[in-house]
Amino acid sequence: MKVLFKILVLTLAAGVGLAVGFALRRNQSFPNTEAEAGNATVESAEGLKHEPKSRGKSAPLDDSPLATQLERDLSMSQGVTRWLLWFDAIERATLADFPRLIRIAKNTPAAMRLLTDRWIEIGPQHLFDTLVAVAKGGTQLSPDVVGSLTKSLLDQWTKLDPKAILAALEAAGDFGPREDWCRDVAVKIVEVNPEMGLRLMAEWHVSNYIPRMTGIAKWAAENPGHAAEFALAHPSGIVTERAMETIGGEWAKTDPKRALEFAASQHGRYASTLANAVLKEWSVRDLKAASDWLAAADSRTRNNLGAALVESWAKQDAAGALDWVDSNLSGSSLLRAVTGLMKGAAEKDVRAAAQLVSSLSPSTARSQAAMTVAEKWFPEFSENKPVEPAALTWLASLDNDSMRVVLDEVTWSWAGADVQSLAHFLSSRTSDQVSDHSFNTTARELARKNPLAAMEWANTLPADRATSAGEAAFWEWWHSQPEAAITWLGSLASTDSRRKPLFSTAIRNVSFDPNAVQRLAALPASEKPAAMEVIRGMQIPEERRTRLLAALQVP
Amino acid sequence: MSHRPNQSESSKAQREADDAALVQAVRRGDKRAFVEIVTRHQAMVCGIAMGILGDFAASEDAAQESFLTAWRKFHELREPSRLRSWLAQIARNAALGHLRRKRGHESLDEVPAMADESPLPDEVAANDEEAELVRRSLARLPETYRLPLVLYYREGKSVRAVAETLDISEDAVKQRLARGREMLREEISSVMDRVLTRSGPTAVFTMTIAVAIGALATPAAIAGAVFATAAASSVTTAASVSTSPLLTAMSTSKTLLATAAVIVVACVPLGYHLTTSTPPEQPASKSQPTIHPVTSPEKRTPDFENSVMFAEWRQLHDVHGRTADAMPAIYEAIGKLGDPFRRKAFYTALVAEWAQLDPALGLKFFFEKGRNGGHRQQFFDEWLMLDPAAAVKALQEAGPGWENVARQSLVQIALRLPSSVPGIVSQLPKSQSHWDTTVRDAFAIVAKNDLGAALRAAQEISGPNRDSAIAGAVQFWAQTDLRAAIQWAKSLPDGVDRDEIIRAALIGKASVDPVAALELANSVPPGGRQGYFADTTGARILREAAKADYEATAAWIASHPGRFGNEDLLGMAEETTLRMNADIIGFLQKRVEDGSFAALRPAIESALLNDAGSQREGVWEWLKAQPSNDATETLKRNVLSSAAWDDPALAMRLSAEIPQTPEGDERIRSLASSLMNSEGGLNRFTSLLANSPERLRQPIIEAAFQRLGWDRTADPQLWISRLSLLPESGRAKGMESIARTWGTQSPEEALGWVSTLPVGDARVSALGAVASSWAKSDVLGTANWINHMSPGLERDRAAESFATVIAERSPQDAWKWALSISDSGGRTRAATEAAERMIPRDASTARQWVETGPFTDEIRSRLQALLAMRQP
Repeated sequence: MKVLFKILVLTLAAGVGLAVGFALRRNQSFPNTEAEAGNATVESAEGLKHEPKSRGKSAPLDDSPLATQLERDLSMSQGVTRWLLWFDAIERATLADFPRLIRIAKNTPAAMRLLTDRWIEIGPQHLFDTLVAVAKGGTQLSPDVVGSLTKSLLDQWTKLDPKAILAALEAAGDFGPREDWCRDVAVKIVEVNPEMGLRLMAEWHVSNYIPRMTGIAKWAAENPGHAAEFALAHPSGIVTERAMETIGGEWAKTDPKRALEFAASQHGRYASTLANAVLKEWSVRDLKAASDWLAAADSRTRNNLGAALVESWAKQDAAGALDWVDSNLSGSSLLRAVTGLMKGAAEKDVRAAAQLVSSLSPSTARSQAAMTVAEKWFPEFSENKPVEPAALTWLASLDNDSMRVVLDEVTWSWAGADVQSLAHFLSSRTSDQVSDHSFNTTARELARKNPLAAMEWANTLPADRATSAGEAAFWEWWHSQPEAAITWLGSLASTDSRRKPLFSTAIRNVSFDPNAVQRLAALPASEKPAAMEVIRGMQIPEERRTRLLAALQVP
Repeated sequence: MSHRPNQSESSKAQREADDAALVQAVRRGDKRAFVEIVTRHQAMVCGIAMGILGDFAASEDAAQESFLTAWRKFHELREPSRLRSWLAQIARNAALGHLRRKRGHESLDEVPAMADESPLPDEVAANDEEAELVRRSLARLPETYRLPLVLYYREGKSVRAVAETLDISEDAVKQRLARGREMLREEISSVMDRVLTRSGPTAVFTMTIAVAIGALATPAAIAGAVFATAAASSVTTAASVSTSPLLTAMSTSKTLLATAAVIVVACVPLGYHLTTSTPPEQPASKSQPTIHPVTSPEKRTPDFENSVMFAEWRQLHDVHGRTADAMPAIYEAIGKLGDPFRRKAFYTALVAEWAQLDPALGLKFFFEKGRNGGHRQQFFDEWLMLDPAAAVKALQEAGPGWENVARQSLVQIALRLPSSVPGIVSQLPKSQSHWDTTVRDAFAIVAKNDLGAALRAAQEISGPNRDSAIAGAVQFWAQTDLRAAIQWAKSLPDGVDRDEIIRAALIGKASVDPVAALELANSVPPGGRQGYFADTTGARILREAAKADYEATAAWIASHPGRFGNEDLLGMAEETTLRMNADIIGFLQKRVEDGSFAALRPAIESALLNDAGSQREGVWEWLKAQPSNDATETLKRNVLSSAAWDDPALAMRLSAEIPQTPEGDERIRSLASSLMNSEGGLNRFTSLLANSPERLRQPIIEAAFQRLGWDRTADPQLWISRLSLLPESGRAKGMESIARTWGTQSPEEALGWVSTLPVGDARVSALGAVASSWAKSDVLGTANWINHMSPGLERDRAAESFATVIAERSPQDAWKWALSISDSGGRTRAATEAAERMIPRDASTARQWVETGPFTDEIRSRLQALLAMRQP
């Protein structure tokens, strides 16, 4: 009896405690009940907008007790325990928990991946809606987290259920990155459903983003003729180019002659791409059969497809391919073929290809060949690596025309990756070897880093290029440091031949700046008369000239 | 002379403080804190049990029992900082109790070294011959020597830890270890190390305890379980664990009242969570944990909230084992799982477990050729969290590929072991990415701890990362003292990119005080790379400033017109996008009010073209109510052009609102041009034409042919068939465009087509276009062709086009070709081009040309003006 009484007392105590807690919760939850009645998506997006730092006295509602608990648990755990806690949370999480969980995971890439995968698994539409709401309403969540979620969603949901994601895109209406999403989805769909993907790309005019071609290759292998017809009926720029290359490659494995016949029956660049791809693959598989076929073809076909044949051929025997080109092609076909040949040779061994170029006599073909080798050998635009010394030696050994063509091709990326070595290389060249483009691009890039050094470098160039390069550097300088640039100009000796052209060019350039009026007004009073003279001599609308001159009036 | 604690003393003190904090948390009812205690001390507790029982399975049973006992008796722990000793005592008692139960009620002092020599169950390397060898060998040792040996290997080979646990001196531990080893055969030593090190308790052990005490249940479920058990008064083993203290405490009425009060208070937070902590789709009954002590491996299977994943996780361990030796097999087994989510999840957990069990060998495994780079990275990160010094040391010795892992984790390393950052950075190669700021960020963190040391260390770094390291330290410094940081940067020796260091200072300052940084933004050159988005000094500073205080930044820009160029202002694009998407009208209105609208236009336009594209219509509507000025008109054009590129349907809708005026017509032509210049514009010609309003149709056709002239891939035959869409007056231009694009693809074929055109102006223009395209790729071939042409207008036009193309490269040659042209108009145009190109190269030759060349008076005076601008 006594025991029962005691148990009753304790149970009552527990009940009171629970009731008080419950009541407190209800009071705090009250504003949230309205939110809960609203759109779940908006709620999720709001969740993303809240940052934990705003907790404290005015703490936001606990929109995910599970996440709150996890956050606390994680703060006291380490090692595998943390991951088991994550498992536990992820298994129990409802869709509404995910925005908060993502915030907890944002500095833990592995947890981000798990959560994202799970969210996509159990509620892709919810994640989609959440991201759309974020795009529409802004967010304090870091853009890289939003970007990572978006990329995963578009990638995975598209693979899982392309129709569903298309429906979601359709229903979502306008939101900021919609076009980008459509493009990404179309690109991804091509991988899983080539027909649907190609049709979408054509409909949505996605023509500059190249999908992975594995899906198309598989599709084309089943029925290359149908694939070619379908792709031709849904043209979409470079996507169709790549698709035709892939289809041609597959078709060549089974029936290259039929494929070439089909290509010949079509017109346009895509048919030409198809034919080239077929012949290229055919020559890899059976060089003799492919070259015999081409030798027997009419001259137009031979000219059009010669490059494809020799590109593969060059990987096996570059010199033999070159002989064939010399004796079978001429004019622009020969140039195209040499380009193709060198591409193949450079892919196999860039140094050997460079040697082959060196062995050619100076000609347009040699220049084209050199350019093709350089494309492979010199750093690409985004690469942050220096040029190999062997490449520099080779470039210096080329004839003037070839060197100029190569420099025109590589200057932009070389200047970005290693402008000092480019400047050093150019400083000992003649005007015949380097175009204005190369000198000026280098001068600008130098000026971004060290304007004074850029001006000095420009002044050491051949006389007929020094002014132009100096102007390019000076304008770059003035653009960001007008006061320093003008001061430097003023410090030049009055006899310095650079003074006038540099000033004139700067004034002419600034006249086209959206902030021209303000920039001209900011000139030192002593420079304004000279600036007015330049503007009076420019070919610009009178209304604009009047406004610019007014800005230069000294009160 | 003050006492300065040595490292071991301070770490012991730290551990005791941590223990004390955990004890306090447990006393507040925090079960997760108890789980943390288990994690921290399970190696020691299992070690003691193993030392006494000499049986892997039995020792884990005893250890579990120890922890459950500790949980029940936690209130008896009087000195929280003595937690470790207290647990050791409980472990010892539990192990002895086990032994007693097995052997009857023998005197503990009489217990021989080992009791159970029967075959082991199939866990913890029990099937391993080595384990059996160790077990038998240990059995020969008295407990005095056996216990220190086991603890030594289980506690990370720390003599101090063993001494603390057994409450004896470190010298005594060393003696016992030496004596114990002597008593074992020589050959057993290495096996002993391996087996005991890797047979320690794993996370499964931890989680089993956690489940047993209900630490992984939801609060509501815990409450439910406790009170259901109490109400039922069922005297199950499980219930006795949780209810017996309660019932005991109720022996007096005062205690009853106190207990009831405690329960009321304790249940408030439980009730608080009751409404939401249980996921709606989970029945309450499922979330009620069963609290019971675990006495055997079979009974230890936790329900873990019905977690399927945990069950699978445990299953993997049941099958393959729980030691470090089992990790490769589990890793392989996970790789065979079909469900990618589970595969990913279990890999993640396994990597963490492995890092706990045997980090050195684990790192070696993940550095083997062909291993997953992500797992390798995570493994290091896990180890770094557990033992930064050891992890960093091992990484630096890990062999090829360590640099990538180090770079990826450099910021974390800086947070956990800042002293190691300079050494690592010295060995890292130059980053291949222009955007990589890892070294800089890491050094900013290092500087946060000790600025002076960070600056010194950064300067001492050798190799390509020195400037980035200095920049990182300065970036932090500038937050508090920009001028001093800049002054110091200016004093750096040659060879350091001082401007980049100053940029870092400005960026650092911008993150806390935008205006101060903006004032000095143009004290350094623009930096960055041509062609990269928002890469100038101004853009980088504005990006940070806008993040820190957008309004202040916008106001500053408004009051300093012209201080930043377009490229700089693109640095504001990201923050501008966020604000535009949040409230487009409010944002624009604010810009008008603070006067920053015109200045911020580049950022607004960039946003509209990218991630704020959905706001175009809103901007258009807002613009309609704004007074017409340069800024609003330019933005209108921008809305139209960006819609044309991204959203042609919207562009066409908006075109209906363009007024029927000459200016409006011009805007329509501009819109058509944007439609055609967009991505795939020519490809969508047919569909655009089909959907365009009548007013846009003709401009679209004309814009398409104009665009065609600059396209290198268009199908000439297709566009020949579209020529009829052009009005008669526009056909010649259309043919010229076709000739131009065809000339870039196949000049011979293009010429073949041109030759079929009727003689006249259109054919002349088309020939000129082919010559122009051809000359760009093959100067010699083109020159040869022109030289073979008969004199006349066609030859003149071809020569004019050719001269114009080669004028940039060789004004002298262009001049000669210009003079060879019979037609006076063509000759003048070509000569003008050559002269203009010659002026900046050789003013005196150019002057001679200007004076004697075939120019009209107007052109001559313009050329003279150009010459005058370039001559002193």
